[in-house]
Amino acid sequence: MKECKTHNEVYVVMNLTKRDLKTEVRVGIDTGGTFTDCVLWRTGEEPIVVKVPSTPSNPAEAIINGLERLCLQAGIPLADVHFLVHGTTVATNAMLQEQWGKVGLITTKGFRDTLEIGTQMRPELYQLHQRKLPPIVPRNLRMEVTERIDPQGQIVQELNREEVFQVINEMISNDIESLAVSFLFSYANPEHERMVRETAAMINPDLYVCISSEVSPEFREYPRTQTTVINGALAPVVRRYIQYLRKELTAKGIGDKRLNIMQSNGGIVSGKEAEVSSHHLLLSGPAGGIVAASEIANQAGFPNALTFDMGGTSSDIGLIVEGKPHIIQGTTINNAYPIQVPTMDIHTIGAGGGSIAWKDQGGVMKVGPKSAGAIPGPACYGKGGMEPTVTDANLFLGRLDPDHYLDGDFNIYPGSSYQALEKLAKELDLDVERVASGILEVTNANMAGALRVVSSRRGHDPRDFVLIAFGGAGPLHATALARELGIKKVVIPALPGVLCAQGLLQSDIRHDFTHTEVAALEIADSSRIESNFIELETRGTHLLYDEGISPDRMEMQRSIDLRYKGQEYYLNVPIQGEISADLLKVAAERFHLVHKNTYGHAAPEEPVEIVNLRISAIGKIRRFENSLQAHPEAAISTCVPIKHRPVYFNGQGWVSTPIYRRSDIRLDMEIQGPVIVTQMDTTIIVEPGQKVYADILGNLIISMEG
Amino acid sequence: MKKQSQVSPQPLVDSQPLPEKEEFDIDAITFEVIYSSLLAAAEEMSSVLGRSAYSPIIREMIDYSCGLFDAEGNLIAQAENIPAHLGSMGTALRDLFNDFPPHTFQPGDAYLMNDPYRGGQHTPDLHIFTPAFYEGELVGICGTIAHHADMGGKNPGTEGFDNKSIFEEGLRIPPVKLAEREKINEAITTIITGNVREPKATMGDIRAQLAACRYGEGRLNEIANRYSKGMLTEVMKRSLDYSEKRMRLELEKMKDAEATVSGWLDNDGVGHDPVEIRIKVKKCGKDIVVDFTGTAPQMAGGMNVPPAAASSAVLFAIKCVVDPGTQQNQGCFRPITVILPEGSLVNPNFPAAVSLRHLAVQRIADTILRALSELYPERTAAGTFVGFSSLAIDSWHPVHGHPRVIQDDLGGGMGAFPYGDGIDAVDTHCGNVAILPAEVCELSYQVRVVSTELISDSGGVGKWRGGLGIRRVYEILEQTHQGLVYTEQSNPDFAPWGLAGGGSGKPANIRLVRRDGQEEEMDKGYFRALPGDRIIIETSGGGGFGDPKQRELEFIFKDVREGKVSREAAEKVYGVTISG
Repeated sequence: MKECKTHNEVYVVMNLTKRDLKTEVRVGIDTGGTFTDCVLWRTGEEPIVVKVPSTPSNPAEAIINGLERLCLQAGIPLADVHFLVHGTTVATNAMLQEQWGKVGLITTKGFRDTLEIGTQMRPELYQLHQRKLPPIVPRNLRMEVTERIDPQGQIVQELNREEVFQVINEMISNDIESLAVSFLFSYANPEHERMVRETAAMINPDLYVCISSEVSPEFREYPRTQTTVINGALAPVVRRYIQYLRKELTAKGIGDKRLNIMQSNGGIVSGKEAEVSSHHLLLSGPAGGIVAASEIANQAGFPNALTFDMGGTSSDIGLIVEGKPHIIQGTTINNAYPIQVPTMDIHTIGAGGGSIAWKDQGGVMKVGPKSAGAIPGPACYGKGGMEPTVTDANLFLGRLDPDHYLDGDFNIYPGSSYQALEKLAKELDLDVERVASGILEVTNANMAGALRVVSSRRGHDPRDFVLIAFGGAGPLHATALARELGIKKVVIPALPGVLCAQGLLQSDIRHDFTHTEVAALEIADSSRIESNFIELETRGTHLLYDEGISPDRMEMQRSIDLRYKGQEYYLNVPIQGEISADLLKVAAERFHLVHKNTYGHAAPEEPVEIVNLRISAIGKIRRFENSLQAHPEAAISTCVPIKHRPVYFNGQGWVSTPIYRRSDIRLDMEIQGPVIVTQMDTTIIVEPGQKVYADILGNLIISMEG
Repeated sequence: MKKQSQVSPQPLVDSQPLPEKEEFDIDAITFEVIYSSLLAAAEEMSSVLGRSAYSPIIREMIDYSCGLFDAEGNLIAQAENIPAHLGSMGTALRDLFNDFPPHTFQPGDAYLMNDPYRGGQHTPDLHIFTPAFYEGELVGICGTIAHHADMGGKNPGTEGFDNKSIFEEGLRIPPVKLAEREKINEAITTIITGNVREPKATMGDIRAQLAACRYGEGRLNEIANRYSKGMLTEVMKRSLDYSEKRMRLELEKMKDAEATVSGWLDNDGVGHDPVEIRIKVKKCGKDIVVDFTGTAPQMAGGMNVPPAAASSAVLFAIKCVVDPGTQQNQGCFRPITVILPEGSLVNPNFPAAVSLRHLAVQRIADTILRALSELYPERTAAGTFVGFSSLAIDSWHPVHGHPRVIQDDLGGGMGAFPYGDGIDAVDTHCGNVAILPAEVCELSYQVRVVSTELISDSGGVGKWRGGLGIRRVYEILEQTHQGLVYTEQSNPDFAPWGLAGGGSGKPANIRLVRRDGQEEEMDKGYFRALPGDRIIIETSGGGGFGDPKQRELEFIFKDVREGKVSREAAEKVYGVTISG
């Protein structure tokens, strides 16, 4: 029972560290499309997990409901919650549904159409009948003022303040809810943008104004303007939500300062700060899952991992490299709008359990992109869905338990699945089994393709990675995907259904700041760069201080964007210490290396150029050393399957397969597939030839043959 | 009678329906699984190339494509980023096979070519092909095409509207064996690096293309290993039948008809007379023929179109109208026959210049779409901006003074269609590249972008309005600059055409405005400009669709509110007076 001993050792170590801490109560709440997941952690106690139905029209309702249920189970009053972290979809939904706030835009004379022209690339290559998403600000709310600054920050033409006064008044008479300002080269000299904000404050102090030199101080006018506009358009929506939530929480005794919000970069910010950095919240939901997955990957000794979170209508693929979530400096939202904000590298594909299988006009069976969604849902939901989905195929093939779907909280109808599959089978002139297994084959081939593209795009081979699967349907498909991709190990976390909520409690506070400083590295002015870094750090320190972070828990991470002279785009390289010519040389060396790893080649003899200075201001949150462990009692329980069920495996047909409860899996045993492991929020498939065991951290590790 | 070159194999008598069981147990599902692996493999090749490419034109403007071919050279799966590359690799591969028959291929070989007279597009587009083997047998071919920043020649970037022959267009590479059993032939790369302006970038990009091909070989090998060589070959064969079937099913739904139309280039790049592109489109049953008989002879300047490029334009136009969603492979070309008269501008005789073939390619696509619009207005749209307005100026870096070339291409309006307005200000048809950011311009060159705007009233009027063109103003900041500008569609007669009663778009134009206010118009030309001088490029708006009197009031109000249509135009054309 070696593993058990190790387990106890860990426990002892935990007790030692705990002595230093006062009892703290932290809650993570992740709003999902169907459920709001809530986790409560207390020093020295097992976590409490609650899933409550989401309340899309007012997500705060589900949050309060979840909080109350958590506290009831913990036997504590709500006011005892010290620290609340929330993963919200309010910004994501506003974006997806294009329910932007009414924002006005002021630009340099001659450039109000930058927002609309964008890159001038069209959405579809072969479609004569195509439309482009309209710009977030209509042309009549985009106004110009006379001013011009050059790339060095010198004023070429003074700002015309009368024009500013006029256009702001005109916009206000058009009922704008917020105002975005984006001038050319404002990253080099923000003076004119600040003057506009001051003028606006004089006219209407309540008007929310965002300026591009603060929201996204990086060169290239289109992405900077777009990012600023997205901030302006989300701000009213996010503000309304957070202010309401804070009010509700305050009424329950959870004060203003205890609310924190998850950002797309995997760090958290105070609720107050989130109101002005709304564009950082677009991946607030999935980010928690990747943070938790990276913690798990590190603890379990697998620093390189692909994450696979499969839900009803879409699936998210994430990348963890050397123990850290891969962060990119910008992305595109709604397939249309670029946004310059540090973001986890998450790739979403429109395929999930609800994806519909159909016969195309060429006679081939396709799966998706149409989805049955939550309503009517898969045929087996019995809510009127008549077409076969991935979930129906899983059910028919015995992979899902008809009696215990979502722990029996949810009725499903296998007969309806059969009818839907049979209809398609007739059209294709195939038998039902073949169609059902084929739906999984096609789905897995599509997902494997996406996983390969995600890894090859960043220069990685998926075979060097483990696959961490979570979300309701991730563990159902993960082992087949791993087999397809040549991945050797699949990791299923202890609580795959609430991983995002769990990650919320493992994130540090994080603020990112940028300063564009284009200069040849060799002749760059180190003292000027140092003072610019210090200015960014001062801003970070102030923000963290306001959020109640003591100086000993603050950490400033400097990095610098570099490129070869003549290149358009840059790579981000960390740089630590006081800037000197020597230190910059070290950064350049590092850049050559990163360039080689990322792009396959480097040119050490070419001159290197500095593009941006970046600061991540981190406020360290004390970790609860992983308390989500395998249940100690599992070690002594008898591990027997709860039953056997025929399950269809490709190439083998129907196989009588043992079904285990997750909580019955003992630490010291390895079970040979085929096996199905069920738990409240997911079902795990272990294929014939694969093996599964539980590690001391509570993960199930499935290894492939050979 | 002129000799003709007929591109595309003879159509099959009938397509073979899926699913079907022959010697291999491949049903509609196995087919989809294996074929989607092949499509994904092409995408992965594309991501490998994009990631490892050196120059911005490949990495940022995404001017490259990747494909997988069967052992006979049929395109099976393609990840293309701009339609100009559509089907183009297949044409090149056929020429490669003439010189290097597939039975001579060895594992680790690689082939390089760019010759427009041997299956190429124009000299900057390099093709690289490698054979893929499984257990000693050829199972397929991996191919890439990428637009390199420069291939030598008299102009930076190699292209020129007034080039008189291919010899002014840099290094011409007939099919050559770039690598034999993994070993690169240094003689070839030495010749290349000795002839181009940015040898380092060129070699970096060639290595990226090669890396993508090698990646594709690995994936084909894995797929053969997973399912068997026989299954892979069978799926490749059926994928062609499958795409062909989809195209033919759509063609069958369309009425049999033919139309002959003429499209015009403003001039030949040297003189001033318009040049005719005459196209007959005939759709009969499940086949379609595009015949260029009657098109003008090859031109004196640099806009002639090699057959590979002409075919890409034809395929683009047909695919847009017949079935935009069909999976791209050789099978979708089977129903299409293209007739390109030899010695005409679409199949020029050696050594005509072809580097700016994309200007004529855009007009070819436009002309075919015009013919199709007469037959199938519900499937088409009004005329789109195809002028390809561009500028290239020799400049210097504002701080360190190194010489640099500014290049910028501007988009314009798309044509309106039966249920919607044309998109404003986009790169159109066979192109899809990005505009130069104003901040990048002023940071990198001694030239300032003064403004970049939509041009109000430039879209053709109609029930549905044509998309608007772009006006961009550049100002020289320091030193005397020399450069060239060019555009098509400056002639109002050739501006984007309206459809079903819609009006035409406003033509493109380019002006040089001197510091003292003097103006010179130039559609194609070289110039010398001093500090304070401005270059103004205006691109065309798209054509309108339908009677403007039927335009919904709501849209007219919106356009006037947004300044896309002036009050005067609203009153004059749409008959709506807006006050207040």
